Amino acid sequence: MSRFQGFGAVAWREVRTVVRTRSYLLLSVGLLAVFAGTLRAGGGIEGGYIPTAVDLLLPLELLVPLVAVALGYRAFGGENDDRPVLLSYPVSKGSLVAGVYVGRLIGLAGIIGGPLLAVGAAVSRIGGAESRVFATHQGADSPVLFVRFLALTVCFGAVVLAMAMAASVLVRTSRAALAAGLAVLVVVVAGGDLLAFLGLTADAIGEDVLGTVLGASPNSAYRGLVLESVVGVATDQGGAIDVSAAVAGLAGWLVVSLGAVVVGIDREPFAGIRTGIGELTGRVAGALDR
Amino acid sequence: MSAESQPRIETRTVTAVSILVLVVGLVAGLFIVDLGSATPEPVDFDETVSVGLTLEDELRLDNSDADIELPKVQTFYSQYPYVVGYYGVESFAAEQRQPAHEQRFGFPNAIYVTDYAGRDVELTETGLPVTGNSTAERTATGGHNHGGTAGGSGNWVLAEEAVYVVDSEARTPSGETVMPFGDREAAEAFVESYGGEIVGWEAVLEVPAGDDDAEAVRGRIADRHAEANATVDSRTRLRDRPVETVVGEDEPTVQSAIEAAPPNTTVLVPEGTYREHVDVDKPLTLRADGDARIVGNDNGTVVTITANRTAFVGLNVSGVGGSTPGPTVTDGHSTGNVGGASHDHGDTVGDDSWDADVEDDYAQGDTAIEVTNAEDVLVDETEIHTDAAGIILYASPGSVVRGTTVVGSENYREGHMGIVAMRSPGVIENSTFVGGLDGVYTHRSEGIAVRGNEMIDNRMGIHLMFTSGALLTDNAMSGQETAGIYVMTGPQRNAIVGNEIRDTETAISVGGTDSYVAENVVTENDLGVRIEATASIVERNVVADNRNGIEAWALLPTNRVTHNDFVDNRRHVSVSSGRLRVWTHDGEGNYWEGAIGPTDGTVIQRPYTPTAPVDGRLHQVDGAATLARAPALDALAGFQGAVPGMRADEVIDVAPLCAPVNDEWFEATERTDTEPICRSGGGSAAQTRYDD
Amino acid sequence: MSDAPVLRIDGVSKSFGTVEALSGVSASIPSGSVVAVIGPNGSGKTTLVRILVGDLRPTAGTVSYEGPDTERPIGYLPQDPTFRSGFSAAETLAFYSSLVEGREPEPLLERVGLAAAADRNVEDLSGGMRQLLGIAQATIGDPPLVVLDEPASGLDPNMSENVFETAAEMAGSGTTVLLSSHDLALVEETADTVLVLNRGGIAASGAIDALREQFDADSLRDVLNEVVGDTSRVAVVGGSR
Repeated sequence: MSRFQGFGAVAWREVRTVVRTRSYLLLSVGLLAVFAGTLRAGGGIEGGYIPTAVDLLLPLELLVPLVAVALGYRAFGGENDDRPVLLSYPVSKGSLVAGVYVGRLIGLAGIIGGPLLAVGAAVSRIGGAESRVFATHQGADSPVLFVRFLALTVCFGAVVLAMAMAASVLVRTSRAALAAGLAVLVVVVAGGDLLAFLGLTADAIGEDVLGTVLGASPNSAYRGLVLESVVGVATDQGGAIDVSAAVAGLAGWLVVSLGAVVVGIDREPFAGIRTGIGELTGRVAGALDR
Repeated sequence: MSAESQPRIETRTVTAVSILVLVVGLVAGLFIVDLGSATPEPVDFDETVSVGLTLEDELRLDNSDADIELPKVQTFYSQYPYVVGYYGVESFAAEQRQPAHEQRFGFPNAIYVTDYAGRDVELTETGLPVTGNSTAERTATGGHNHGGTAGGSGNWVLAEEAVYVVDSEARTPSGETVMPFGDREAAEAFVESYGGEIVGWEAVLEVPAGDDDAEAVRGRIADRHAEANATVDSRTRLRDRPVETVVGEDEPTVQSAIEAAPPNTTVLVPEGTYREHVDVDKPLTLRADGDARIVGNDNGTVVTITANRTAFVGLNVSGVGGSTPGPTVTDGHSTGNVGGASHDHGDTVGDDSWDADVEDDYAQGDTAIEVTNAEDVLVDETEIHTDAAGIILYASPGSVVRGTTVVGSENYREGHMGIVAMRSPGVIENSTFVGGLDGVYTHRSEGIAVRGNEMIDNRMGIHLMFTSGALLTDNAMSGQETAGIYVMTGPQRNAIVGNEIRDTETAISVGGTDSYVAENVVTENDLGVRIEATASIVERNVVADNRNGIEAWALLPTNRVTHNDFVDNRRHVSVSSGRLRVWTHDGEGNYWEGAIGPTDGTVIQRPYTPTAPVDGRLHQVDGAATLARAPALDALAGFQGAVPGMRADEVIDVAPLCAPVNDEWFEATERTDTEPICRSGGGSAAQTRYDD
Repeated sequence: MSDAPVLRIDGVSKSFGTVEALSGVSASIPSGSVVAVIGPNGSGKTTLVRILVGDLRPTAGTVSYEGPDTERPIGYLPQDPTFRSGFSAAETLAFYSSLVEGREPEPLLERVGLAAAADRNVEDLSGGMRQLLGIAQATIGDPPLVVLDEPASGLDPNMSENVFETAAEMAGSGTTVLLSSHDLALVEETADTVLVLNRGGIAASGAIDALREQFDADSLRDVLNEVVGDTSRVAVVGGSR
């Protein structure tokens, strides 16, 4: 019971931390501005939920990892790090990790979900064809699809958040944490796809497995799932991605990253190994000296 | 030790977690729920965006006494917000087979067909279906009751649930038709009376509708030219009739010569001026020998021809009276006003009285030459000066007018048409029309060929009304007030090829379906081409130096617009309504001055959206190219083609060509430094720089 | 004051790579007293403290807590504690309290004299007030052993005295306080037992009187000097690198 309690307090503190950091609010407002600009240029809002999702897909693919890394790389850094003190309290590593993760995830959902909900509201008011002369109908468009889109986006953010948190605990200094965070960003935004592209052109990845292999890259998995379950409903074109591979890929990254955080939360995760290696090197050096 | 904070956080955590679980569960549910939403209810057919019936057929059906109800289809598509209506199951099947169909519309959520079960359906003599007790209501006379059929929601059945009678005697104005029934017994009863066999929905979708693809369309042009040539050849032989009578020698006046001459001979008219009214009522050739002028008394028509196979060669006609239908009548005859049932015209036959007004109005008035009820007439090398009409062909099929010049009134409001072809399909070629109202005006002259003519300073160059299957090629027009070529009333299968039109308000305005607009050069106009037609092909045209290049008007995105060259228009494209149109076919689009992007030698790999604010300015505004390459905009360009049916009015070309199509035209004019960007790799905007 | 030790340290060594920061430290921390760890810079005080609270793992040896069984056995104030900005002092303490069956933060703040600053954000607190807040945090949950790493660092003489008085009070009511400090005068006044560290090992330990006697010194300061020897150079464990 006390474990559970620790989780709740830690999570709630994270949420309040995010809420009280003004720059996150500005980030959310900035996101809303980018969405508005993109939709203005792309004209998706008048088309309905699906064209709106299509227009927002690319900006989200870039911005969601950005927000997730921003939230994640400092989760255990600088003044957010009171692990030595927390050690003395009956909070298990698992509760701590879960609490920080869930708290920041709620923050991420708010930062990204808020503007998206605003967009959804705009679409419900503006979207769709109107005509005084002709009968109109919604076709395959529906708010349910937009909710799916929102959910997939938050899930994508959740995975990248976990990856960024893993990067932040596995490095020592805050400078390194920033670099690690940026590395996560680059890998997520570009790395997976570039690898897939190279593999495809080098014939290392066959065309028939592309749909499955893409599931391993978090942003491709996200993109594929959106195309499959949101856009694909209107075009009746399947095959955007192997859905189970994409879900498995995202889940895999999440589990591995959170596991890495749990291991790394200990300030000296590999102390035993390191001392062993240190001793060994010392002995070898001594032997060589002789 | 107060334990207050502890339960507070604990309960908070518990509630938070339960809410989270609930939300996650709900959302997960939304992924599983099958969005095969409730099947939409059918709507009034008038409210659908419909294709497939010409206005002529519509009016004719409206006008008949019987309660004609054509079989119809209405379809709800997954990514197209309007309900699309089709006349005839076969036309739906044909449209559905078009390669780009699913890309434009998505897939059908629901398809309804007309249900004839329980409605006492019979066929007229011409095979049109007539229903006894339809729930349709006719609107008050004077309005349009589209096709005489206002199918309310009670008469529809889901397509998959109906059975279909094919190969029966049932017909629509377009040909054989399929009759749907919601009830198999009703279908069987119909088959007993009218023949045919019963098939299901799947089978019906495979019924060939004899629809053309682009190759067939192009092939038809050659055929039509061949036909026209044959007609012209046959007519020109009329010039070779033996000369039996010479005016002045054998008879004093032209008219007396005509009366005296034996049929099928030539009456020669030597140089001179002949002030008389000429009436040809037997097959003769009237040929001038030198500068022979027939001059009327400025009061009425000068020459009247009522005999088949008459030829009128080389003469000069003037002195025409000034009586014309008047500007209010001619301006007022848009599609909206035609078809009032009030007039009874003696010459119209049977259920063709719907256009009585038009015939009255346009066939009235004075004219230089009037050809009435005379088949296979030839007017050759004639010069006409008139303040009213030049030549009125009335119910005279097979007429050939060639090598003729008609100089009409300078103020078009005071004049009339160069040629009126009313129910007179034939050939009009190599002639010149200056001034007056419309150079060539056609009414119900299906298959007429108007080619190689020159039209200058008229209201319109060629004005097609209720005329399908026309061949309008190689004409040169300039200075028209309203339009170079204007095709009204939604006809079918008109071909507009190789014309050169400049300096008009609208060079080409084409409506209807199955039109072919190709290889025209439209320059220096206010508007190059207005596309009101659907299921049409617009290709290989040069659209240059216009204020607006092409205006896309048709609501349905079913046209193919490719391989056109857009150069130096203020706006290449504008759109009035409808959804996103993709002007690319088979991996190739159009050539746009201003399009940028990397190329593969043939096409540019960046989609070009002429109707978008930045792309549309690429060829005119410095800096637009830089802005267009902004990652945000560049990436957006790539997504624009997705779900086109759900996007608002835009035109996008996903594979713009990197070099113009009409090289010869670019070379012939002084635009020799067109810089196609095929080789340069897309670094600079495709530009046409020429010395002013 | 009972004799049972609350913490037993047995042969603890700690190496960072090839640098041996602590070697063979053994001690027994009696309960209900104030134990001070003193020594020159670089002697391994903070390393030892961190190992005692579990922040570092010893390379060899064990640390065993032998005090009463409770939710939070050891309270800890690290050197230069971090507090999240954006939260008030009261909120900060309330958070830590919520991790144990804790009290309301107000009494805790009162105890360290921060009652007036309860609603001030931690980033607006002075260095000394932060220290006091840290001490308040260390006592949350009434741990039997409170470990304070240099609790008076950065505090003016009055505040320092305040801190040590508070420590003595806590010890008086049965809590064991283990602190490290450079303020030998205050240590001399307050501490019951002293551990003298030098170069990673315990050079001397015991009650203050006993140490004075042992080294024939008048003050703790002199004891330290005797123990350490040459005071003009800072000992850098591990040689020059």
